[in-house]
Amino acid sequence: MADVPLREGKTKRLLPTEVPGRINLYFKDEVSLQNGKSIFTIPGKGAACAQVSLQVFRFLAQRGVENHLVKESGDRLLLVDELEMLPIEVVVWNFACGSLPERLGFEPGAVFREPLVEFFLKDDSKDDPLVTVEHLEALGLLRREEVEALRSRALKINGFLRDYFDSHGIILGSVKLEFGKLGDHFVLGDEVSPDTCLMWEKEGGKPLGRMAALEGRREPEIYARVVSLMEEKPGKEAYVYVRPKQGIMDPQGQVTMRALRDLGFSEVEDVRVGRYIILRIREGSSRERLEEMCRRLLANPVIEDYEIRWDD
Amino acid sequence: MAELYEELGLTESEYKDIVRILGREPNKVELGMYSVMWSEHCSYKSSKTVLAQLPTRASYVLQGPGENAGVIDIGGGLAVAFKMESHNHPSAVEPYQGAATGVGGIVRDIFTMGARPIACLDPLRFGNPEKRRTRYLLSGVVAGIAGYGNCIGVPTVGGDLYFEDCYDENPLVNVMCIGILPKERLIRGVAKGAGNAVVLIGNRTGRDGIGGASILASQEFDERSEEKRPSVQVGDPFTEKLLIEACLELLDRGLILGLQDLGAAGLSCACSETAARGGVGMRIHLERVPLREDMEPFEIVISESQERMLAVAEPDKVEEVIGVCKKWGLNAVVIGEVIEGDRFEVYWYGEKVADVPPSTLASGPVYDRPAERPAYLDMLARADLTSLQHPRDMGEVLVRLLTSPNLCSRRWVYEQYDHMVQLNTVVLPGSDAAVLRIKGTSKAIAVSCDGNSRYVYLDPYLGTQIAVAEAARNVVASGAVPMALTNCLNFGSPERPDIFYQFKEAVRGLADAARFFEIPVVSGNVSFYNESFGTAVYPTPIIGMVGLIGNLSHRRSLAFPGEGLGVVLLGETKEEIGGSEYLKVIHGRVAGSPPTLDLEKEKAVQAVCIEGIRRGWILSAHDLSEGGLAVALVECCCAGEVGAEVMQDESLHPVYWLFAESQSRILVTAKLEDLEELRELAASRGVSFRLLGKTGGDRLVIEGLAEFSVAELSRLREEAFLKLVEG
Amino acid sequence: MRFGVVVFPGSNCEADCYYVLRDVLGAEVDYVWHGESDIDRYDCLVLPGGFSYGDYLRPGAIARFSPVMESLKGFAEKGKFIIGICNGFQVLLEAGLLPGAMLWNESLHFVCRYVHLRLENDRTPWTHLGSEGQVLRIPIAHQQGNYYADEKTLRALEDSGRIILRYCEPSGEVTRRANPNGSVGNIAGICDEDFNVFGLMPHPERASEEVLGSTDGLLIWRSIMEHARGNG
Repeated sequence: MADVPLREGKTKRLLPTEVPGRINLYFKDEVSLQNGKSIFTIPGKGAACAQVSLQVFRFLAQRGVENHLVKESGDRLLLVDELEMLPIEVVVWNFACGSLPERLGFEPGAVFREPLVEFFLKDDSKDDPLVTVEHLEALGLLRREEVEALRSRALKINGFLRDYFDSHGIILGSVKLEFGKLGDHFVLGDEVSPDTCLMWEKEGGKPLGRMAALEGRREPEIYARVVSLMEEKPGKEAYVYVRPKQGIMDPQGQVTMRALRDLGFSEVEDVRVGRYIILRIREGSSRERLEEMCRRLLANPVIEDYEIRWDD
Repeated sequence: MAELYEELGLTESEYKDIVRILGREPNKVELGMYSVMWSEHCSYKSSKTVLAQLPTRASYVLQGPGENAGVIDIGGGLAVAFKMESHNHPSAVEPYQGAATGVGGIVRDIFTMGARPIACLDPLRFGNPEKRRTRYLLSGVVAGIAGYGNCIGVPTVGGDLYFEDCYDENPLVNVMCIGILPKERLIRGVAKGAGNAVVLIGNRTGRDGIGGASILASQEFDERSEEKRPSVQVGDPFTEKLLIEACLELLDRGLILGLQDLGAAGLSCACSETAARGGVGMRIHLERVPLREDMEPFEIVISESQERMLAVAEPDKVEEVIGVCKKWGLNAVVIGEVIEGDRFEVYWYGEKVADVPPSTLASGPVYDRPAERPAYLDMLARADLTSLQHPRDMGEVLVRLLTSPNLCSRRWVYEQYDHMVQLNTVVLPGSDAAVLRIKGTSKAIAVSCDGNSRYVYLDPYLGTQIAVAEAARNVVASGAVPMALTNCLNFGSPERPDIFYQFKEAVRGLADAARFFEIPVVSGNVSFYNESFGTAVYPTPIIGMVGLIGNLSHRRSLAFPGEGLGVVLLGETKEEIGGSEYLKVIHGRVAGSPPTLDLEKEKAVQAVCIEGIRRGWILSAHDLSEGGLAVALVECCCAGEVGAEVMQDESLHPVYWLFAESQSRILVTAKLEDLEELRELAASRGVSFRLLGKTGGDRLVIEGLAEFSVAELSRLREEAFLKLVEG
Repeated sequence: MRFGVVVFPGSNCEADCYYVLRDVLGAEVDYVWHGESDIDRYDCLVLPGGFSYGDYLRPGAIARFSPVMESLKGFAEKGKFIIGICNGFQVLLEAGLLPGAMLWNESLHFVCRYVHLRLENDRTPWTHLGSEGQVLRIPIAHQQGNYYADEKTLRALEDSGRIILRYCEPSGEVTRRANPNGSVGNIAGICDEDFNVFGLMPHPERASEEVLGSTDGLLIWRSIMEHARGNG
């Protein structure tokens, strides 16, 4: 029962659940370019998009952006509130990329003073045409003030996402958002993933996910890389001992020594009190970088020595 | 669940109440929330009915008890918020962090009202100073208060410190904070407007402090207390400082509708109290709460991680709210929204893990505990003190008193506190009250904390009245008119009828005295279960008094301000040594009745003092308290670095003249040419006026009884304390 | 002369400095957020006391990496003025704008009290209104004010007159007893080679009004303001 989809799209299946008003989103490995004219499979793509969407929706909820996510319900499954989806895609552009240069003649990479917002009607038979506020009103889809509210909401979401991806070493070129009605108000739905965003890796500038696919790449790494950039996995521990230099007066050591002796530990000859710092370090660091951390911040070379313990 | 509710400290009938309220068995998360909210610490279930008799109103009271702090109007568009709280149990387990987080908690209570914290005071009670544990607790607590208060830039300007054996295992660490605010910035811990966002600001949540304040403060101490160490919270004053700045900025920019700090019982308390006060509900999603470690829902709702605030904001303001917090380097996440109805819904990854009426969490049960007069009261009151053999050498008695733990210098303590930051402290620690000027006005406020627990032990009703009278007198001696008070009532287990008798009598004394002096009680705190191994501490109500000085030039300190001034004692000295320091230090006894208190006379003495100051006749003033006249003279001389020569009162035995602790007395100085007018003023109010002598020279001479150099007295007082802390 | 009072997260004397400069001395003054790097419009920057970044790790260790600190070097080289008070002094030391380092007070305790300071050099922009040997009464409030520098640095400071203030008795005598924190040579305040940068542990802003008990701190504020006017 539960695996007979309610609906199936090009990249996702909507599966029923036992809870009324809740459905499961199943993320497929298919990639669809040029509005479905080119469809192919990249293994692991579905799981990657589910994982990134999960993280993004959680983050957005913390920023007060209502969305349909309930929880992760499987490897490439998200349990979500069932929305009455608007047949509209809202795309926010931070700079000219993707289809923009070709469509409108922008210099690729041109940065806009304010991000651009575009509305597209979801209709493959019409090639998902760009629509104006007037179109949306005339089609009876949205009132003008609702369009404005969606626009400002999309801009706000884009702002949050730009910072969020940036903190994970990802540059966000554009994001496609879809909204739906839950009760009487609009809620962010669908997915926010490397398949709906155009993104690049900050270091090296390599395209990621859909952007890489648009450039003809088909290897699983283009999606998997986004997941690993977003992953907050624990690194390896390094230990730094900072202690007063020989010959420097150490009031803490002196007082501690007196206290130990008062307690009857007369064998104590000297005490020096320093700091013991445990760092968790991501892959790709080096002893040289640790040395630099010590020199620049962790120790004060005027009064302190340091020692690093790290298996590199 | 049956075993769990007992483990969580709920009684069977309380558990049945919960089942009745919900119409079903509570789940673990719900039970956790009820257990912390219905603990004595959060619910005041034993004290509520007794506290109802306190006078709380006056025309200038903007906020009385029931909020995070009391607030009074001081004119000119300004208001003062203040409150006192205890952190006794956490401090007994881990003195540094216990005291530090105590400061953090009370400071949050103040800026939660929209006030900028301008001063803290810390009344402390410790056990026998000869004991190693006492020294460990004392130095830890003082360092904790200093470490936290100094870092956040709120000066610690006063407090007091007493040693009694009854506090050996269970020290008292009370903390009072005062803040100032423009009246229009006053905000309350109220949620309103369904659909509005609930934002959690500040530190990430961890398992620390689970059940800390609420559970610790609702049980007495035993051998297992040590094991509870992990549940003591760790303070982060840096984040607190950022929270102060961020929250005040949020308020100044009108971005939030309600603000509440997370203290005891964490999210459970903050959410249910704000919802209950606003008559609304709340829905929160626990998976959005930033965590420090893996935690389950049960833990997240009751965690007492420090330095967290809950704000309610309109949805379109959320972005700006988050922006302000980000500027200050603080986390801010929307964890839920205000909803209609009396419902508190808690979700965990989409699953509802709790659904209870917040009003029932916030109100809790009410108990009318039995009280019974303890037998020791009559026994000690009957003690015959008339046949005591008094020593001959009054000078020697004076030295023994001056160097005794309760009367020697407190410099070692207050010099560890930054008491000057913010540039308002115009009367420094060591005087009767701290005086804080209010920049941009000619006004100042005077603050004092008092509570002689030995008096309260000997007579709970009278002892507490004395605490109120003395706190008011201290503020008056600084040139201020008492405006309002806060309190912290530290007692043993309310489940013991003898203890509950002490509590009821003390509150009756507080209520009667406050009503008589027309000083409203605007905030307060009750700390029960201050016991160890079955023995309760002395009943210790501490009064925090706030007074207003209309004209800064009327501020006074206790220091003799110069040579050639008349030294005058206002008020009568009686043959009273019951409960005195003299009796304790010289005769090793705690017995008798505390000094008598005639409220009318007290009022008259205070009126004369204030009037004398306003007319410019009284140049310094010092309330007479522990150690009596002799000790007061020493304090005035040492502070002013000037000597004095005073006469004996032949009608009294020297012991009473010098060391009786008769109430309603103030030692003042005035220019010789003003003495006559001051005498007439005193006479007009029926207040006894006695010219003792003159200031001058570098020696304190008490005619025929004692003579010391002032420098020597200073040295003795200072060295005594150092010896005490350093062993 | 325009003052800028730098605000680090955790500063807590910035409002005090601002108040004294604006309300007591009538100077032009702004707050400068630590994230700002454009500080050209100021003539004198004040690094106030407090606990920048909670004093976590070491006092001043983290604050020194603020953008405003990066701009500070160039600022001093242009002949403009920087005064670091208490935590501000610690920041200057960590940033290498002044030599030496701070150790814990010998007592290990925080200490807040009035101290007496002997003015050691009256030919600086910060002190020219005073006279050498003059005793100032100004409060201190710190836990790590035990100044340390190696022999060579100390000699250099001494020889070039860059030790500006020393803890002393009320009489002006520099004694061990008068030293509140154990600092080497009773040093309470020093300058850089050009006397543009001044770091001191005592708080002159706390001794700038009669009502607070001392006005000796005004000597420093007034000296630098007069200096900017071309006097002294």
